[in-house]
Amino acid sequence: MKTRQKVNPIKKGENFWGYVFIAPNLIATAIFVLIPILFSLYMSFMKWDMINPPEFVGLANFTEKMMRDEQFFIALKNTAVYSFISIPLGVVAAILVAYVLSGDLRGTTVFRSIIFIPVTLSMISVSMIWKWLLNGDYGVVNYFLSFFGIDGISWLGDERYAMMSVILIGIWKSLGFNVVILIAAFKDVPKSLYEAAALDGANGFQKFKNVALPLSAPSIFFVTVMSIINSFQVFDVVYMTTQGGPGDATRVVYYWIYQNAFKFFDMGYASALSWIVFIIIFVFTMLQMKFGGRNQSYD
Amino acid sequence: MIKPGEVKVMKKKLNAVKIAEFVGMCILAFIFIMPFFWTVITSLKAPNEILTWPPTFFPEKPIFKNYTDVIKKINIFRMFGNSIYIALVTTVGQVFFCSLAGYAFAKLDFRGRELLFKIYLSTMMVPGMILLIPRYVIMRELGWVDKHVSVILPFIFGNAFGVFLMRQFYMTLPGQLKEAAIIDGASQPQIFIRVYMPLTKAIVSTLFVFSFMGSWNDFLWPLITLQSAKLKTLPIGLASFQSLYGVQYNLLMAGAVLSVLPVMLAFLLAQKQFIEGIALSGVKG
Repeated sequence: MKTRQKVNPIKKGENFWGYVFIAPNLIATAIFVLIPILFSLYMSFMKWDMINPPEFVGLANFTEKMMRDEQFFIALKNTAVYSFISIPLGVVAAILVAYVLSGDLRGTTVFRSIIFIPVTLSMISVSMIWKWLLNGDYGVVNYFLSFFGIDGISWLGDERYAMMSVILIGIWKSLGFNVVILIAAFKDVPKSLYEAAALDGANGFQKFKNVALPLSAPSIFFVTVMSIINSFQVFDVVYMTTQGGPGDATRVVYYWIYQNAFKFFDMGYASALSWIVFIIIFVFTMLQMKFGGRNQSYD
Repeated sequence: MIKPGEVKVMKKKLNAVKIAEFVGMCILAFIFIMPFFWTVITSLKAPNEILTWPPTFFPEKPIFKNYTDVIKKINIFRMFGNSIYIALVTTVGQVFFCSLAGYAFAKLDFRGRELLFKIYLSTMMVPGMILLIPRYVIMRELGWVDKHVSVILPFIFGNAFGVFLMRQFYMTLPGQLKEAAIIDGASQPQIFIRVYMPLTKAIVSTLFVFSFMGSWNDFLWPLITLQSAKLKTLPIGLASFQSLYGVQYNLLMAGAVLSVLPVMLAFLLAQKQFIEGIALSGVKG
């Protein structure tokens, strides 16, 4: 009794109710996240087609099988190409658009809303629409390009252009997301800093480079990390427009893992692949955090 | 400090930049509106008119038969119903459970709180592709493949992002409210539901829109678990529609219009929630 009374009466029952309140979340996380992670690791050492019982194969999925899987390396390369083009392009475009729209231009809210529309739609509808726009024979994009003397490019059907097309659809879909985050960041920059820079004789570009960019670094960093994570997991647009083709031109890792698991029913090998990709994403995110963090401290 | 005359000179200089910016934004807006315009135009064309070069910008004779054909060929209303049902149930659950846990992590003093929160937050790092296969196996073992429960249950109890968002908001609310309610004899659940939850309407509507969008647009997971036509959600229904009618773009675009229109209307009505939700995720994240 005596020790009980030492507990602040105002905090009565908080220990108990605290656990009760977080229980649904934690139990669901255990069942649908933690157990699957362990199960996935276990499966990556198995050969399993979901019909016959799983068979332990040791590291074979990671060694012999993966080493001989040329398409996995093509898929990794494709994903790298996708990331290295779409992330810088998407982030730089978002920074420029957001900077303009955070100013006092006429109609900024209308422009912002228009650019944001694709974010609200499913990638499936967006891909359907763009597949038609980019049609090689009757597509309206080729019609506009024909004014400039560019003729009949089969955007999604030509190995040279398919990946670029997929990247551009991805940027079109997600630009509004990044722009909205960066507008908020640019608007948070105190007006007085711009005024001070103006008094020091800074021109528009200098204000952008020396005031707006450094002060918005955390948001730019956030947008970049999100883009990295998303670019490694690109799937919907490939499924809807190219199915990995033509040839292997757009076969990205997530699509290859999906095919191994749900087309070839090689669950063990698909799990092993997903672990390799997870480790790559993890390393990239860590490097980015270290690099991003260092950048910030120098500014 | 700056004289009015100087301001005028600066404004003149800026005008050229402003015009360039405005023109740039108009071109960008065109790139974002044109696809939708073209989708609607195509959806009103006769099958032979979509295969003309140069393409016609206004259908010779707009036909609405494409729309009735789509409705006849795929049960698009059923898909809508499925998508709305799944997104609504999932979202209501997510918002409630994220509020509950966010409140506990912000306002209740229990042992191991900080550590549990950190561990929970770290689950955000796990990419979906790791979870895909084991989750499917779990659903298969439970006999839930090709049932709506498979696309609802893994998500209904909330996620780390939502809990984080709610926790950040609850931390801004004063703790004295709780103390006053305790003195009045309220129990902990009562304090949460009656005192704190009503104060979170703004952030709840933001999280609601965010979660709804995520569930509504989810593709790969339902693609794997839902196979029956009558259970399909809009995204996977549209995907199979495209694989069946791959070159009949007049039909495909009519389907696209039907699927996009309600989302656009919702966006126009709740723009503030959509945009603030995203902006917030950037600031807090």
